[in-house]
Amino acid sequence: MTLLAPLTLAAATGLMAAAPLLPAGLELRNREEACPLPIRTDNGHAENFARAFAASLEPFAAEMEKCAATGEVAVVFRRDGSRVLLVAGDSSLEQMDAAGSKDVTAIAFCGSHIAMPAGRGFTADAYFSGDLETRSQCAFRGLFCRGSASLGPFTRVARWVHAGGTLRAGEYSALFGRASAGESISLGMACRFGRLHAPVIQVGLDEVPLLRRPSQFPGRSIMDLKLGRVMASGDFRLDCGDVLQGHVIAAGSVRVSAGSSILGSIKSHHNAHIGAGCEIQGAVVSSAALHISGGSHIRGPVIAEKELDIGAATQIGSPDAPTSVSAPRIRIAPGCVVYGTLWAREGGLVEAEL
Amino acid sequence: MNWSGLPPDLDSWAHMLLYLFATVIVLICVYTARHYCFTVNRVLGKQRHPYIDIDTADWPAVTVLIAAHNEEAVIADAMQALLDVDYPEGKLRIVPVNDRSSDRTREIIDNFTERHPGRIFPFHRSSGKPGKAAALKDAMQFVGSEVFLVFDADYIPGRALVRELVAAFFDPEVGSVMGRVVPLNVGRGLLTRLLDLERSGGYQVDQQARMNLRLVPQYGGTVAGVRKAALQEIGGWNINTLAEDTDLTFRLLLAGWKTVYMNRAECYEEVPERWPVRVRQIMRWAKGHNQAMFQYGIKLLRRKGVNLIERLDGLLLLGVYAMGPVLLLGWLLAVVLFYSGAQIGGGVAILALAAFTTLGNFAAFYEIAAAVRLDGSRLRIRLLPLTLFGFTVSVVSVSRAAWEQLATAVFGKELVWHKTERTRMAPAALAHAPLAAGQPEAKTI
Repeated sequence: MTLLAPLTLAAATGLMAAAPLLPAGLELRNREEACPLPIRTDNGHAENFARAFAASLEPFAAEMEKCAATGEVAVVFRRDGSRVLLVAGDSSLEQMDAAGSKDVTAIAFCGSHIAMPAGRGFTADAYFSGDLETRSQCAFRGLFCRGSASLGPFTRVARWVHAGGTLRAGEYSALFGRASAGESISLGMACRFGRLHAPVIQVGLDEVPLLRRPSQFPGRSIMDLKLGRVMASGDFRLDCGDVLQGHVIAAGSVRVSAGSSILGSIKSHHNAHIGAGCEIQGAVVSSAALHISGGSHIRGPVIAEKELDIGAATQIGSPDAPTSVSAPRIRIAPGCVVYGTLWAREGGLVEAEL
Repeated sequence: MNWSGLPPDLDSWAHMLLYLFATVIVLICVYTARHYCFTVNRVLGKQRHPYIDIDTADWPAVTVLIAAHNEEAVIADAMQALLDVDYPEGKLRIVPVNDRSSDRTREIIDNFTERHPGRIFPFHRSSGKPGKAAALKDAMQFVGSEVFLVFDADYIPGRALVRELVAAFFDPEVGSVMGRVVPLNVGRGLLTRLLDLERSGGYQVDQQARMNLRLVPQYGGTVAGVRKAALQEIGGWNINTLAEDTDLTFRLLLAGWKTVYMNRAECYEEVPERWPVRVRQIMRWAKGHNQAMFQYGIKLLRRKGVNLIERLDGLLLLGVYAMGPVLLLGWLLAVVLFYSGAQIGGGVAILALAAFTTLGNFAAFYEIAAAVRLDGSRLRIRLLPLTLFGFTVSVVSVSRAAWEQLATAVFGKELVWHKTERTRMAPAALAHAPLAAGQPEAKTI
């Protein structure tokens, strides 16, 4: 009796102490997550989703050719068992409707030119082997177009869109997620956008304006240069028409007045304002909001941690040195040209009027 | 506060111990609050990744230094991964820094150099002061670019990593950048699994929270980049330190340069698989960190150009490894004071003691738990109670390091660099790395 009591107490205490370790013991024994965490292994390019989708349809190239030649709607199955509907062209749309597209995960249009009537909506990802032209108010989940794509007004793309040639989005269209093009992207008035990537992104323009000012450092990145730093413990202001060589770092706000030039980059811990007709050879980074007045040219990346407002006829990047523009919210005026990436994390909007 | 039955001459000593104990409790509470602030910020606060969207740019020339000392087991993986990164080929220069290796490291490097002419430029260092900082200092003659990256030989970068790290340097205020380290050899044993959790807490929560709150993210010495102009401005690498990373972080901060952390710039590493190796590693870190604390603590406090919150965070960061012996001292004092009959009066004192004995000891684990959740894994969290074991080993090791450092200072001996032992059998370990969920492209390394 005298031995049993302390033994029982010790056992009970031991069990209670060991109980929290039981899950740990199980995991150590079963090794269910004894593997490295996954890390990013892709190259991070904007068109990756679209290209992965296109690659998943490559095994059906022969079936697509046959479909284009015969004009018949066909169904093929991908490796994962999902159904893909093959459609010859816009004349086959009625056949497609008759065949039913509810259970398919992708629709491939095999013709060289597809004209999509107004109001068409696709819940499956769509593949176009040629060019695409849509009327107004079409809706896509994901859209890959091997040729050029011209999307009519009020078109919606929910996840991603890629065009091998040019991608045009009509007025009031919305390109949510990723939009990319091999040649150029053109956004109409009042378009909404997320992540855009193309050699040239034109906003409300049909023609790309010529590069107004040549690079001060042709063939060299701004980072390749040894430049001094101007450190401001408060606000920084550069007067009209002044030229500054070196980087500007301000603990407060930065105001670059109209017609000024900076042969370097700018970092502002508060709001930054770039006046009309300014020339910035490097990057502009703002920890808050950033306003760029019209007619300015910025060669390096443009980053704002809050809002970014880009005035008309602004040019960012250049054909020989594409760059990135990024902010949670971006408003951009018609007449702007961005070479490279324009990325609004929460939402971007093209202004409706000049 | 009073003691019953103590002679008057011992009473003053007992009071002194009590004040010392109170100081320890205050320090622990400060670090507890820090851990909780970081965790809450990381889970609920606004996240800052200002440079992550720079995917297109006029990329600069970049030199990648791979620090290698007897790295035959791992150096090939690192070089192959760097050859495969997505960066303009003509602008990437890979420099393996072979620091006095006596194994096959040189042979492997030369073989790669021969197969990839014009891309790899090896630096075989056969003499000079041992240590990573000294090797990097000598290797600077091979750095012609304004930006250079540093990798250890056991690191395996992803395809976008170089670009992601370089992007931060478009900000003219950035002097150095740090990426996230993810253990590769997780499944090798209890130690590797505990280190996996610890790394998650350290990077996913601690470093990112400091980035979010505009505090002082730490340059970690690998998966990292440095602006050459900034390094030159602060006088180059400090070869008299055991933690060139901490040293660099604080010298840059004092000179008005920022260190930024890129949580998505992830890279695999090999963590120690044996406890003695781990103990040596953390002792070296502790000694180096403490060196930096003594060298830069007061300077940082007095530096007007650095804002107050950065100064405070910097001081707390410098004191991280000093908290090991402080914690041990606290435990010791608690026992001594208990048996000497000390009565701690007042609600605040009791609350502080409670914080010390409960929350204070668990704040770091809370951070790890949050990190595991953020990493999206469900079952790793089960190992959390076992991190107490790793924590205890670390506290004892760090305290031992502090004691050795003290003795070294007294007897004037030079601190010695201990290389971390590698155990990978290259390159098979890579085959077990899973692909990231939702990533459309297969891993090519």
